[in-house]
Amino acid sequence: MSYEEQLWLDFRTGDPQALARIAEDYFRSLLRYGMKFGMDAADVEDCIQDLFMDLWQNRLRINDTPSVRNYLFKSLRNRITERYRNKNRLGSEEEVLWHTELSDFHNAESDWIEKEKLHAVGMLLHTHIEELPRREKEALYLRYYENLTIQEVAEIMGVNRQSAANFLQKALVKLRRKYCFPVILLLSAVYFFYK
Amino acid sequence: MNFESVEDFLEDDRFRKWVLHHRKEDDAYWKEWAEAHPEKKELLYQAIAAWQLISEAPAGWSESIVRERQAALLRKLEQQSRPPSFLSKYRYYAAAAILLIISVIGIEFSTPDGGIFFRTPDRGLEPSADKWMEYSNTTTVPLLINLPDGSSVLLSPASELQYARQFTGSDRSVYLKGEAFFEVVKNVGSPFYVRTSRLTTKVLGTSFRVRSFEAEETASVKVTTGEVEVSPVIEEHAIDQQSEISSMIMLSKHEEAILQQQPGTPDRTIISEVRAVNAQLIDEEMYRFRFTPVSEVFGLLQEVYNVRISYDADKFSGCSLTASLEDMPFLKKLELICESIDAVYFVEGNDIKISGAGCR
Repeated sequence: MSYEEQLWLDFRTGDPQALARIAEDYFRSLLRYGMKFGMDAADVEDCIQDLFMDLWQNRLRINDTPSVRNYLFKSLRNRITERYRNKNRLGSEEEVLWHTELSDFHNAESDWIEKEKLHAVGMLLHTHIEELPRREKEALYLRYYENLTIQEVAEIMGVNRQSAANFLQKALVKLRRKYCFPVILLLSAVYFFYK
Repeated sequence: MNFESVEDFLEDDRFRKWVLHHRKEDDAYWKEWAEAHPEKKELLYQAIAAWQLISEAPAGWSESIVRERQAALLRKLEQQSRPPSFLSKYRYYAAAAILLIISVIGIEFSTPDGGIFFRTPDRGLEPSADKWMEYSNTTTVPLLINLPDGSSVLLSPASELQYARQFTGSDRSVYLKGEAFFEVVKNVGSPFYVRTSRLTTKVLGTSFRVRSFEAEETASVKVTTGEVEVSPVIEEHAIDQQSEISSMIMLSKHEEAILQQQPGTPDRTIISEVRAVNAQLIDEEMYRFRFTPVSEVFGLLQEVYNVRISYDADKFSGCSLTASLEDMPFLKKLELICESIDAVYFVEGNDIKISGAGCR
């Protein structure tokens, strides 16, 4: 049994320290994920707290799970969307946000990368990513930042595997198409300008 | 690997490692790759930008917020579950966990074979954080490095240190090649690891709560913040003469512990506290071993801590230790020594037995 499996079992059989350990290990990722929904840290932490308190209250009724991470992420996601629904009294989940921040793209360590060029590319890409539906953006985050499989992304987002694969596919195709065009335009413009 | 699209990069392990950690070797690799594939340079830049946009931290995100919120959560959990106070055995892997459990009164050590078997803990894992820092000291004097959590490191000459610019998850890890002196800031819920290719050290910033009511059968120690130090109170008129209590004190750097004998039973000596002579005058250098024969290491520990360490001198004659064991508790030192020489230690009262295949 892996260390994590052991922890999950121990918590379910009544060991609060095991649950605390799980909370500790996953807190950072959960907070980061939760905040990407546009909620502030205190609210997300509230949701995370409720999540773990409920886990503790219901420990005897909780089953074994193949992935603690997926379980926690999915559960948090449900609570956050629920909270949004209650706050805004909106019917559909579509109103929930997904944040894409604009970074300066600069990375001090890799000084061989041309700052201005990277920034230009990034600015263009940012407008295009902003336009993506929030579910596609979330799928990108789970797949590429959290490094989850498509199956896991599907589980967490509460959709079937094919839907998750579609989110990713659509997003990537749109990015591919969109940034090519302006770049070519830009390069041609530059070319003609300097001719 | 043919990179034809942005997702080819995003799905590539090496690319991912690079954008996450920015290690020197990965940096050099991609620089070379970019020079070798000038036609793909645009695509590479798009991949980098895409990665950053996809993974960028949310608004309001900062290390202090994470710590603050995490501490708040753990406090609330603690209140809610209100455990029958016992120590957090999950803060240590195997060895130390068992150590703390011994403080619960009632464990029998009636036979000579009744010691506790300590396993050596698991090794460290791959780091995963957003940005990666690397320091290499090519000077002839120690180099001071301040870590993101406020801890400081004095990196010795000809040594290298690597760490994530932002410590992630529930541990703070640094990777060391060579030698360094650490002063670690206490952080609830975030053990500090120094990982080398042969051993891992772990410092916990946890405090203690000791629960010892006369009306209750068991006493317990629960770790929360501070240095680990366990010291049982032995009742002079213990009713149960059968039970033998074996427990240890882990030394904290600035304290001097005293060895105690169980009152009323002169032939039963137990380690209730471990003595370090003139603790404040111990030279830091004392615990830096370089290819030191373990017999010498054990000799030093015996002298300093007033314990008896027995081992097969023949078997272990070829074993040497290159490690830095200062600023950590006695048993932690033992644990690490054992890990280095592929042995385990076995405690029986004041005696410590080392057993293993040796190094011949």
